[in-house]
Amino acid sequence: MGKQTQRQAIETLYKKELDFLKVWDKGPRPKGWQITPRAAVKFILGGEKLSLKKGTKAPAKIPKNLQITRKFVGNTSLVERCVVTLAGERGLILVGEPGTAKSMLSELLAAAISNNSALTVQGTAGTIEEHFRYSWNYSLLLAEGYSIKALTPSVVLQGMRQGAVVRIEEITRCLPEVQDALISILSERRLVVPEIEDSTGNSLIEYAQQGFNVIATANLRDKGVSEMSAALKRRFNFENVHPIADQQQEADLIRSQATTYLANEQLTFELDDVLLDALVTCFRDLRSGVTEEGWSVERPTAIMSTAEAVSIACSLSRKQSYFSSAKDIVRDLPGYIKGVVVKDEPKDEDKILRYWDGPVLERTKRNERIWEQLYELRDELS
Amino acid sequence: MEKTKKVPELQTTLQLLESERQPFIIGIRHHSPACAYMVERILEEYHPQHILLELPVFFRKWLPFLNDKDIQAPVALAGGEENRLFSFYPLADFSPELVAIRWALRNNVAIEPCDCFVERSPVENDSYVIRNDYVLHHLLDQFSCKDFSSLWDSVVETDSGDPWKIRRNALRLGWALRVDSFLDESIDRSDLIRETFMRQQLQKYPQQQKVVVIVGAFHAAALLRQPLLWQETTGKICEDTTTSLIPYSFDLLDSRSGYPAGIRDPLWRQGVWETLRNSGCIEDTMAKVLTQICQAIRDEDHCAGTPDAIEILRMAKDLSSLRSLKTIGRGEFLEAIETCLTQGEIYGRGQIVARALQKALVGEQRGFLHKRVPRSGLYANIEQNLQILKLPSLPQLEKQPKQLVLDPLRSSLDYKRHVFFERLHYVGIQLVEKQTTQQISVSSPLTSKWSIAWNPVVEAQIHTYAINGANITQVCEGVLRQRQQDANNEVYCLEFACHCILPQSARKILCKLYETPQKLHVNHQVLIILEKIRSGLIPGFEQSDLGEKTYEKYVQHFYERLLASLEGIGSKPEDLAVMKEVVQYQIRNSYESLYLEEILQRFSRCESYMIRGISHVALVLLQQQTVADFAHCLCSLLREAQYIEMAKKLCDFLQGGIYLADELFALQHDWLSDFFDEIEVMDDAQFLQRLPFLRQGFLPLSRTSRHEVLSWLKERYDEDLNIVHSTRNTPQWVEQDLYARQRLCELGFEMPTHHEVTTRNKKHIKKTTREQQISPQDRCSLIFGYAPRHSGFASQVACCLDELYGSQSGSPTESGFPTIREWKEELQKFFQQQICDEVLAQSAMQGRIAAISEINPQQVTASIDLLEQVLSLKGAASEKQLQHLRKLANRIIDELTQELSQKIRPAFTGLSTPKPTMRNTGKIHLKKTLNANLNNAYYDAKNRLHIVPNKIYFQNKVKKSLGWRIVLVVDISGSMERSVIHSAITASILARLPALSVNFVAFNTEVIDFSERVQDPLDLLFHVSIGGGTLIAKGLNYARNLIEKPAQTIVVLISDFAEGGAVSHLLHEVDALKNTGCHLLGLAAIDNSGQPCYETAIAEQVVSAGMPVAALTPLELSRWIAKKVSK
Repeated sequence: MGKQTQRQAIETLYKKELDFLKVWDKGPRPKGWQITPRAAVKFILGGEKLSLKKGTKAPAKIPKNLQITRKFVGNTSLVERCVVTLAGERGLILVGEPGTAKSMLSELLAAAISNNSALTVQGTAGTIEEHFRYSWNYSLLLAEGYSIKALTPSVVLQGMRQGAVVRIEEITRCLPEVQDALISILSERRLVVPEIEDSTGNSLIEYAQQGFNVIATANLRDKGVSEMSAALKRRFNFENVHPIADQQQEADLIRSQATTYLANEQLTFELDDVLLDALVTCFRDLRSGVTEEGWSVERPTAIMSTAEAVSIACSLSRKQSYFSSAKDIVRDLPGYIKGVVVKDEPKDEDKILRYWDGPVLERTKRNERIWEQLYELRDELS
Repeated sequence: MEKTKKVPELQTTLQLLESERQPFIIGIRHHSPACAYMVERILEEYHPQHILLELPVFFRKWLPFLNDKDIQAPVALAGGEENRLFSFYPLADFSPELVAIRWALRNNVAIEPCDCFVERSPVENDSYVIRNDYVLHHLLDQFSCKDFSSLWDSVVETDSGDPWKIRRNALRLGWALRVDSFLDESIDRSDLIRETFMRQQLQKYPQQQKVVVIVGAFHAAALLRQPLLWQETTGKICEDTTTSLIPYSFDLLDSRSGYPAGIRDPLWRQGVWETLRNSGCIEDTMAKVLTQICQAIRDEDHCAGTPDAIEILRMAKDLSSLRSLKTIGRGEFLEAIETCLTQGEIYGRGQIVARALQKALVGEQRGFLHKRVPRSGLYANIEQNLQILKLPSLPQLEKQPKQLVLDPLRSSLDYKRHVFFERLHYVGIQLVEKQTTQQISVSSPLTSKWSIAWNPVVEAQIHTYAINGANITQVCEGVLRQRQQDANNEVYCLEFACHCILPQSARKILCKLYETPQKLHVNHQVLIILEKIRSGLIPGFEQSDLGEKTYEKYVQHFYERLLASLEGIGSKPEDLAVMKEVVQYQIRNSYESLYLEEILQRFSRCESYMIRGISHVALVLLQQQTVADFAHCLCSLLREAQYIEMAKKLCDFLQGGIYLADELFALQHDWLSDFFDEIEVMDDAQFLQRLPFLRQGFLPLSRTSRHEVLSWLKERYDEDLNIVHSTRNTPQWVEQDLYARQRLCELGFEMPTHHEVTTRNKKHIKKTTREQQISPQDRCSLIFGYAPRHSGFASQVACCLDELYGSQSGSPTESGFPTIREWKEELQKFFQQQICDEVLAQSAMQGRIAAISEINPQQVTASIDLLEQVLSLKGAASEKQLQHLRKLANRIIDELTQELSQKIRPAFTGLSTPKPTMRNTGKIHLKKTLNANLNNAYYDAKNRLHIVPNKIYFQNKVKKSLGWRIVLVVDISGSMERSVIHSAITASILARLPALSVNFVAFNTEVIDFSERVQDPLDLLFHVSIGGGTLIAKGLNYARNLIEKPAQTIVVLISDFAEGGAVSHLLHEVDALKNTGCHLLGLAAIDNSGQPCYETAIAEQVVSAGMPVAALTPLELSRWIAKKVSK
């Protein structure tokens, strides 16, 4: 087998859809955008089959009708607001609990608007101002002094030059003084390089081209984040991305995501609906603090995100595939859930036990085999 | 019914509806500015002779008063019976009905209501589900809306300024609704009956006349000449009832206030209506509203200005055009505001923005009735009630007030009176005054006592409350809803609802309480109210009023919550009461709760010995532990009690256990025999060391139990002297055993060494050499406070202790000591110095302040307990005594400070200086780099110096070791004493460190800054007076103003988190603090046994708002600070 890319960029993966949408809506679009805002919303949310208006001149390769895939499960108006924000003067920040597909949404937006989702800065405690501004090729710098040649542009500067959307992941993990480097870029839309003089003796100025904007993602409920300054906040519009509201949708999402991941490993998704449903139910109960039946549950400190559920589903399925002798994968479920719950706070061990003694025990009375099985596995938790 | 129902086609129906002239139909929605505008324009154009309104006919007589001059909107028409308000029509300027009425009155056109009232089927239609096969579902999809309201907004409100088009769109949605409900089950019976009635009214008008009928769009199709989806239905209708016109206000009209028939954001709609009417530009209105919102946010010290307003307007506009709306809708406007202003913080800025929106979109505009309009409602209702309940009339009451004792559970008249009075009482109309009867037993009294009197103030009160409704029931509900808006008011509201027999409201409040986590005491109080309901102590309010099934559910739920919050319990009396209640509850109801047992098991090992005692006894009561286990635990404590700290713990343990179950101590003799076995074998010195604490520990034992124990003990000693004798032989046996053991060892057997056994037995051996002066019987008497049988040594000791604790045998053994000094000398004869001090301090606490002056400052052993006692005396002491107190406190503090600072200081040493590093930090360290690469320098052809760097050095970030500020925000409300001492001492130690500056902010409901006194903890502690309520938000707010360099500021909040104000304010303050970028830490209060005690429910919310909460000792706190500072 030849080498294969693990994960392709969005714009490569959905090139066909993007090309189609470019022709589908010929209306006015913000300067520097690849497709119109309406088409961008359609690209992300997908759903219906779109067809070109009659009489549209289209290159031969582009089909007349195309089913756009649903790439993001969530609120329509949220996506609309995101797109509208990016068309304006301010950057966009997606906030929410980990695992709510913020990064995916930002990737989709960047791919739709700039046809380039690669311009990304990953925010960490080690991120420095140079990652947002520019840096130097030090060997050249020491050898020849300041010059355009010795200047290494940051990803942000590249985005400014290209007029493309730049993504900053986990902006709140950067130190506040580093974050603040973005203020002048966002408000003045230019970057001054005082070290280099142009022909008139003034400092070199790099101007942002039309189409440049910033999408940042941030976790507000996580450990080790630094607060953003008020000045920076005012340069952004904030959108809260919430966990998926509908149980069925969440289950579907987990199934489809897990299937995709497993397909990369040439595996198939092995979990049956009953088990998947139980997994989703446990996650939703512990996340929201109240069960569907209205029983109260103590919420653990750890975040019960959909992404975690996907990884559990994958692990279970992998086990089924590789160890086919291990018939009963249900046996592992409580252990995995506990693993997620105690991740942040070991004390929460009690909470999951209490969840088992309360709602899970109560559900065994409904004569559903899966809950009876899960309750029998209570010992796995202690 | 057949499966496929035939539905007329949409386009033809619409055409039919539009073209019908017999009558001319206008379909509307209540409180819709677009509809109001449309109604006025169409009436102007069509100019009918008659107008019919969808309004119950019993409101007919009020219509003439609804002109521009007599009233000022908003007002409300209310109709209902005695206990129920069933017809309620708020009318604002933008209500299509009011617009039509005003137009008709202006143009002298006849206007008539044509509706009646029909009881709806009891199914509550709150959870209206739009199914997939519905017409509406398609429409929602088409306009990508979530619910009917937003659909209405985008289809009708924002589509067009053309009245005819608005009418068409409204009819279309009405029709869609009708088709859906037809497809679902068939149209509601009550609607059909009303439509039948309306058709009958229509028949009265001759065919040639121009008649306009203004109805909800839903009903339009039923009023056609050939009605659609309608069939004639008859049923019970109501055409006449008591009605009233009352002034109303915008904040009540807003649907979030909980009033029926409300609408979101009335002030906004008023603005839209005025814009439409004056054909203005909606963006101007929006800009005006936005400036108000930003202003309101700035008033709260948050930034929001023109750039934000501009961005919001742009975003709202773009969103609307993305969604293909003609003008900007309310939904888009609000979405844009949320996106641009809240900055993703729901607790912090979210709250402020919400408040600003409340001001700018809801408003507080009040309606007004002119004097000409007849008075109505409450006043008449009260008069009527007095008559029905056979009470004197108002004028009579003015002359002669009356006293009444009611027995609501026996007589039905008294019951009605009782409910009426309770309602007046809770609303706050001082026509009646509740007399609190003396409580003899623990349970509440069954009769209620009232005095009734009338004066002009009461009349004014009645008019004030009239806004809430037309009779006392409505007013009650209204006032209740208003009071519910206050935070921390739920328990009161629940009581209100139960006592006033408002089951629906009670259910709602319970549901609300049910959904959100509550404070420990709230849960407790709710349980008490539920218990009251169960035992019928609230006359008229039955268990079934909460729903038969749900009562049990509620009880269990709140009980579980209570258990969950037990975690943070302390040894405050209220907390102990809760604990007692829980255990008794568990025993009474025998719920399955592994959890309680788990908690008790944990508590039985916790820091606070009082709680330990309670837990052990509880476990015995719940049969999770045998009496022998308990006895074992107690005995081991007794053995360890040779140190004063442990003796105190023993005392706490006993008090806790006795508090929970007095009778257990008296009736279970097993543990007693073990316990007294242990006491008997002690020698006098050991016994005396423990005696004061045992005496104090058994102090809470009730008189009967005490007698019980004593009589048992007498039996034991009088009849069974053998045991006593044999116990005395034990040491000899032990000696022999040891000898045997030694022999065995010598013979080569391997014996496990048991240190404990040997040491203990050595004591026994030693003891045999010394006579026990106090006999076992006398020891018991001393412990329980009775006069010892043998005079001499024992009775002298008893006398000493009786001075402090009082004698149990009625008459004192001897006359008390004339002076403290003599007492002290006597005490010193028997007890160690430390115990003497302890006893004297105790005595001082009980009011003999002079006792404290006998404690020698030079000799005293420093302990937080003693300091606490000393400090609590400062208010009662005279100037001279105060001087002594100061000396004493100073010495204790000095000693404690020295001890603590030795531990703390090392944490702060070793803050490093910056060094160049090879790691890329972004800033190159030129000097070091050049130096390091000089060996790679060369000259090129042009004789220019070049350097080839292969080692590059960067500047490390400079460590900021100086200039850190610690702000200690200390709660000084009641029960915080120990934490205040701890924090004051810690603060003083931290303040003496060069790297830190320390602020000390104390708060209860007020804030005082003690930062200047922080160097001297004594001074500080003498100035703080503990007590009062808790407003953490206020304290934090003050702290926020102290912050200069947020990155180098640590705010430490020390509190029990029993916030007295609104929790949302607290969360907002926490969030605001977090937003400044400073470091936050919340510390749970430590009670006097070292157990952290705090409200877990609130603390958890504080944690999720961004302040970590922990229970740390001063040392741990210092380490934490050191870690932060040296980072």
